[in-house]
Amino acid sequence: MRTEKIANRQLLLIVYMIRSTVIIATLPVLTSADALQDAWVAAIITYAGTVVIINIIAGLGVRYPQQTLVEFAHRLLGKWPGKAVAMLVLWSFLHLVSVDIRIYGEMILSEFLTETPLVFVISTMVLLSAYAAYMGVEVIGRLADLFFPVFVLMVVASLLATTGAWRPENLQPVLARGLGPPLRASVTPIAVSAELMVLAILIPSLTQPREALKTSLVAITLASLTLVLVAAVVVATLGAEAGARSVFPFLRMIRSVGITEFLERVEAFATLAWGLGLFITVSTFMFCGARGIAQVFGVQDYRPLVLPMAVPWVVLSIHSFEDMFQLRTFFQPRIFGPYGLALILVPYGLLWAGHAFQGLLHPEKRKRL
Amino acid sequence: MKWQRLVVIGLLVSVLLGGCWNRREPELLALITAVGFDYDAEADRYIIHLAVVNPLATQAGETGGGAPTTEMFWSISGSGFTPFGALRNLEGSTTRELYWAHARVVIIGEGLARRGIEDMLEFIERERQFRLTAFLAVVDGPIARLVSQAYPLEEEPGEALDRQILLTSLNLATIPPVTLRQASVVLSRPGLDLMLPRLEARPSHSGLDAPNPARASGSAVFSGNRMVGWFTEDETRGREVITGQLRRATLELEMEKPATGRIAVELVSAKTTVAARVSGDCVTIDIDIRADGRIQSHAGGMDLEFQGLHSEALERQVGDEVRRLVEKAVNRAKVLEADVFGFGELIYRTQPRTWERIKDEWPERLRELEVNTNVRVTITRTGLVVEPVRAR
Repeated sequence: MRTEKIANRQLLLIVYMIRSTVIIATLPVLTSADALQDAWVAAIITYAGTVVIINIIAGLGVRYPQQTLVEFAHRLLGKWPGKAVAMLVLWSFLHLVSVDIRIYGEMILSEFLTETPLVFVISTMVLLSAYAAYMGVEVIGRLADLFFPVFVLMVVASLLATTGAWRPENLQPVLARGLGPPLRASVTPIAVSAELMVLAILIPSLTQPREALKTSLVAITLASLTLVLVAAVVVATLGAEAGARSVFPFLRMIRSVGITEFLERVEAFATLAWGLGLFITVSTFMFCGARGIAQVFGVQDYRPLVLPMAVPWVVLSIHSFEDMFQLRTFFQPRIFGPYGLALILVPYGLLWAGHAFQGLLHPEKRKRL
Repeated sequence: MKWQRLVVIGLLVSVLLGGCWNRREPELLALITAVGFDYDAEADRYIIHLAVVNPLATQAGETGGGAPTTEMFWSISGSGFTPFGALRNLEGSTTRELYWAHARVVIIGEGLARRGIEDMLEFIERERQFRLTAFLAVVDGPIARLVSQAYPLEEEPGEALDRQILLTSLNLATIPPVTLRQASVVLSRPGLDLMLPRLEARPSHSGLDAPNPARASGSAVFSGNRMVGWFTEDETRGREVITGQLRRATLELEMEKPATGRIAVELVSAKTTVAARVSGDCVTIDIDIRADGRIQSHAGGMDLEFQGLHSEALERQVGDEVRRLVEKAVNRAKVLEADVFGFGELIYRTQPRTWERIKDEWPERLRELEVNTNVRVTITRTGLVVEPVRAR
């Protein structure tokens, strides 16, 4: 089988879009806790937390640049424990992203197409992404190249559209209630960075796998900058309370401003950006999921697995929660925080322990890698 | 293999042939342009008044040419247990689906405003079709007059009221323009109370001398989500100066010595800085206003020379007039216990700890507020002539 490679630049764009899509659309720094006007501080704390997590994930990945998580888990922890840890990571791919798709479906249903069945919206997105995943990581990389400018343009255009409606006073007082509220509000978005575990599968597909940590740090920095900006602009435009009340604050912000009498209703931009970003996210995760499963079960080619995998993806995303109330509860820091962090820390705790242990056992082997 | 793939793709693509999931043809919708909410205390029901664009009139205009044969809009009203219920109850008596997204103004009856506008705003925020760019106003008089009478220069009430609110606030500053988005921001901020334009609903008739059904004048003042009283035009202007929202306002004065005559000065820009000082229970607000003026009309006085002393005297006099407006607004707000200037918010923003201490007794603090106003007006331009007409 020909080995497919993507450039580090493409990984950067993919990680940026994964990190920017849902986090910006639902803005958990504002909606998941009581940070209110300090949401942008929560976004900065989120950045710090994400940097730590990316070091945990990509830091181990670059030590095994030719191997995916499944392969090095096998090597570090032994056959069966390795497979178990890999399955845990693969589960988090499936679960987190099916929730993402569901949120997107909810948005389409509650904002635009109220009578369209949810399963239709979700399965279109999943099937499309499955097709991209089937075509392979190179195709996803090129799609990221293609969509990234559009994505950024749409987000920037949406932010610029609101300039006339900013009320900077909404951002004051800064940190009046101390660091507690923004800290609480950053728990969920930090936990969402469990999604970044895709790096563990993607790193061997890079042209310069050893640079992966640097690449993903750049991506995270850019994405966090976007998040800080969006959080501040949403609060300045909508007010902290109205923003925190809304299901999709970003969309609500755009809907609530008219640029001029002739240029109104620009939320189509944001919806398009969200769709593109989600498409890149889902196809990346389907690719990584299928590839991971194939390696766990020793299947030569991941491709035959992609289409069957779409089925649990759709089903889980429809059944992940019943209604908006459950979604809101799910994203609360006290529920999603421990869950998301456990998804990262349990497998990576074991893997790093295995890595350290191996280092002690075979110090000479380490140099070769 | 190849033809199998083609068949599969063909089948998948054919799913899209049906087009959208359902259709909602623009021709079959009735576009709401103005919405009025009121509350009937006796029946304990929400009342809704709508002005809907008449599709027949627009079609007639497009195809036939010449004057439309039907009325440009249609006005209906209904009631319900909730605001949304009131809207849905209307659909039994219409022939086209009512569509919200083009509503340009939301007008509120005094009865509902005094009862509280939370229910109404909640419904509007929840409703996905609604745009938060629409203007809000409180109606003094029967709402029906504003949505069921023709506006001499406009096709329908939504557009008419939208333009009237913008025009009046830009040129006179006697009403505060507030969109739904801004209203929800104001309501959510501590120490800041809502102020909405007041629209006087007047009876109209047909004919060439038909009056405009609405007169935009003054404002409705809220405390929390309940309306507590009206501001006059002067008081509203004073508030617009304090909050720095004044774009243009004309002041008419009888000139004092050494000059004489009546003069109209237009304030073209006002920059205001407000600072709050809290010591113990005593709150002092310092307002510093810098404004530019322009002479628009000077009648009756023949001896005005705009040099040195005279111009300074005029500037001082205009400054006093601005201070008078500001004081009027502050005094009225103290009576109503409504902080429409955001003095409380200023303390909350800049001294959050102090605000925590005084927020519960803010209405009392507001009543005893000490306000120092410092106004400086510069008359820079005199229009196209310097001196008035002289008949010899």
